[in-house]
Amino acid sequence: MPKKIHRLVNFEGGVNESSDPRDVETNEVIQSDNVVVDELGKLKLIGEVSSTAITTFSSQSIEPGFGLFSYSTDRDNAGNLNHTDWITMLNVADGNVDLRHTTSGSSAVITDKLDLGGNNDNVRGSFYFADGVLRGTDSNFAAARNANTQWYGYTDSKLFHTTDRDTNNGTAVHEISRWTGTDASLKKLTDMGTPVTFELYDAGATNPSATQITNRKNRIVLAYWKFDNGDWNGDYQFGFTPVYVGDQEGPMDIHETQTITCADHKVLFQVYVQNADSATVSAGDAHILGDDRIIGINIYFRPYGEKTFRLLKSIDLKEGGQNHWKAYNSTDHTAHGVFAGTVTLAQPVQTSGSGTNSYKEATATVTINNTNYSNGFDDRKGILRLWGFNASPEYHDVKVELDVQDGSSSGTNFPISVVLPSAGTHEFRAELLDEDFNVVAESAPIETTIADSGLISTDSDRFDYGSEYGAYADREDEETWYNI
Amino acid sequence: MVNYAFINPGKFHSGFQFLGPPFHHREYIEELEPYKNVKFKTAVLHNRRVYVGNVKITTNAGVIETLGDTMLKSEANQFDRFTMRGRIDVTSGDGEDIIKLESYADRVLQFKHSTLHVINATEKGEFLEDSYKFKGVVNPQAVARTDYGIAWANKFGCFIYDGRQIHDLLEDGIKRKIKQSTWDSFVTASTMVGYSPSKRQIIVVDGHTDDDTGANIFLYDIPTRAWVKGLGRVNNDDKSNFAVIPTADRTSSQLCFLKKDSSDVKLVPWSDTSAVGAIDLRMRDEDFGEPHIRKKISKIYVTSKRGSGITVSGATNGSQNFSDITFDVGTISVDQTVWTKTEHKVTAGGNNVYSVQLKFSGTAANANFEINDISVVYRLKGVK
Repeated sequence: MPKKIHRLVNFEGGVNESSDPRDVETNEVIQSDNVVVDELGKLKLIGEVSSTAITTFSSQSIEPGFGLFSYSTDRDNAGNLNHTDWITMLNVADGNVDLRHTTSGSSAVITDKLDLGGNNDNVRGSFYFADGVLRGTDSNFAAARNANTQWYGYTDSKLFHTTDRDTNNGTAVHEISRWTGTDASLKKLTDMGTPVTFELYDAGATNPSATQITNRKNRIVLAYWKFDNGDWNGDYQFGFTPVYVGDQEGPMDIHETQTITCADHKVLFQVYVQNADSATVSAGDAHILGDDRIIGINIYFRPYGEKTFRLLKSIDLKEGGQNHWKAYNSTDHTAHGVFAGTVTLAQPVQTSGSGTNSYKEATATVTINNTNYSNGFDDRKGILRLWGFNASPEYHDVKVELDVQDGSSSGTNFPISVVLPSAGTHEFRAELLDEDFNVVAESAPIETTIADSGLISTDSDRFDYGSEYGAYADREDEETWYNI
Repeated sequence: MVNYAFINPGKFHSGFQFLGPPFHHREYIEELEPYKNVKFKTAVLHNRRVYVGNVKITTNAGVIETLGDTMLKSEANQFDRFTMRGRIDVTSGDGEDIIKLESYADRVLQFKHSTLHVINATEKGEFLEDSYKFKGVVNPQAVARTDYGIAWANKFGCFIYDGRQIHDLLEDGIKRKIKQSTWDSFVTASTMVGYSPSKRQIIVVDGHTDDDTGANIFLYDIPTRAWVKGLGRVNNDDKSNFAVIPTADRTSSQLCFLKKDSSDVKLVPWSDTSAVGAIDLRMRDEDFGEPHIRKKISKIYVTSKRGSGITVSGATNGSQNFSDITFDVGTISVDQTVWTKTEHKVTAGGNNVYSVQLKFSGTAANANFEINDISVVYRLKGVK
């Protein structure tokens, strides 16, 4: 028989040690210790763990099976916007997690960034990473450790904007731009390192003074003031929750010791977040409510005795809504924004002719004497409302600057065009309203008798079916004047 | 004393006005307050929520509970907020704790000690899609994420979930590639599974402690679906879990772990580059398609590179005794950098055999040792 050649050229089937050696596929082998078949038609040596370390953590120790986690952030350790890869290294000796850049150019080990509470007792790190933040915890529940799950991420909060962010990024009182390590738990405000305290304050007469705005941080004063003609009735209790980055609401603190009592009131609220004895906050300072992650406060209310709280208002600690935030001084600002003085309405004067005895266009002059004019009425407007005239109530169509008045003079006059009402005795009155149409001051009424109800022309330009002319139903000259 | 505050609205004595209590606003539900603290043994991000499993929670009343069967999901986009509403108990009181969570293709895979629960998790909610006995893991390091799915290993096999079904990688059709006894003795309570993305290889390490014998591996090459074994290819030191870490230039990623090295800890990568070491390569028992006909094996040719240190030997008739055949030159002594043919004449034991099985063994002197092909010269004997 002639010689034959049998060639073995394919090995990509790898090991088949379970079948009979004679029955394995022609591209399989029976044993392949340290030989790899990942390239077709070739057998070669397998790889191994590199003897060259990527990095070394000196004088550290690990819990077998745990401690390594990889994640990537948009920022480097200096806080600059550089895509950066990181690893964790949990040192079982002390339970602290070191972090290290694995990206070129920044090889420093950043030590002890998360404390998982280890005491050399088999601390086992468990991690997750979401939206730029690393969370780590000790998953060894058997160990007697009390450390909470930890949070480590970059905080970029511009708090307490005093100007519009759309203009040059606005002006923030406290710019937090740093890596923050803290408990991951969403604490209630009273569970902060320094517990936050609360107070309700009736600001109907004056803003809070140093009695309420104390020399400490971590305190919230909810100022309120009431007006008539509202629907608040009874006692109301309030609760406060922190809102953390990501719109994560923390647990509520119920303010048990104070309520607001109302009887057909409408209520206005203003929030004061204390900052001790400074109008500024340095960038490196701690968050004044105790956690860098807090970006808002939710205020809740409930009728006293009921179980359910409902949201009253969400307060944005960053931009603060349309009117942003403002620094408040407990000594100088207690009277700011609170109107004090008089509103006086003078006898209306006909625009043509004289007196007030005819249905005619006239000018009613309101004099506002704001003795508190200098006390912080920036951007505050008032609205004049006149009663008793032909179109009643009549709103002055130009808002009144509330800080116009020089307190040493007799006041500032606001001449307003009005139309006198029909014949008879009428009472005229002027009210100064705030932006929310609440009466902050009113004039003494003046009583005026109008003898001549005036004429209304047949001129179609002046003909009006409005009810305001109903008073002319008793016209004498029926050929010329119509009863309406 | 002058004290300061920041006021909102930011105008003096200008408030948020409410004509009446806004009863139409949303309720605050105390029962849905976030837990005071949540510790977890495993966590996975899925659909903009975090799922944590096997948890130790502290309620706002200060009650501490350890819930080994419980999975908590965070509120959407709120990765620190876990409430009672997010509690998911697939099974409880079953004698198994949650060991590891992973997610893939709209599913959360809940690995318990011996059971795998596949949970369909979408924005609308979660439901148990299927449960698989004997597919659990005993330690979290035995699970790895690959770009083909989730891979894991236990005493019963090595598996991958591709989003639709579970494949046992030890099996190929009706064929099992690694003996159950081999696998059973290889897998330990601290077996680790890692994924090397550069070559798409799953690496199963026998254990992560320094008292694990050998620090051996099984390597599964996903493109070829082939298993090979590595001996002493990972350090016999205490090791952390595996992680895939980007390279320093961020152009690639590599499988790494931390290892204890004297008083330090080092981050070391798995290298695909061939490394020197002892080999034991055994080919199939070749009967040349004629199992009942005697043959005479006269010589073999081996085409290789850098073959110094490697010896060829042969067994006949399925004996597994690799001293059955004697070659004139047993070593592949050629150390060429290009493919080089070596000839090995059979001097004894090659006559009147039914089959022959070749073995290549020894310690390769050069890491670039490769075999390209093997040729066996034989002659069929006449049938009597």
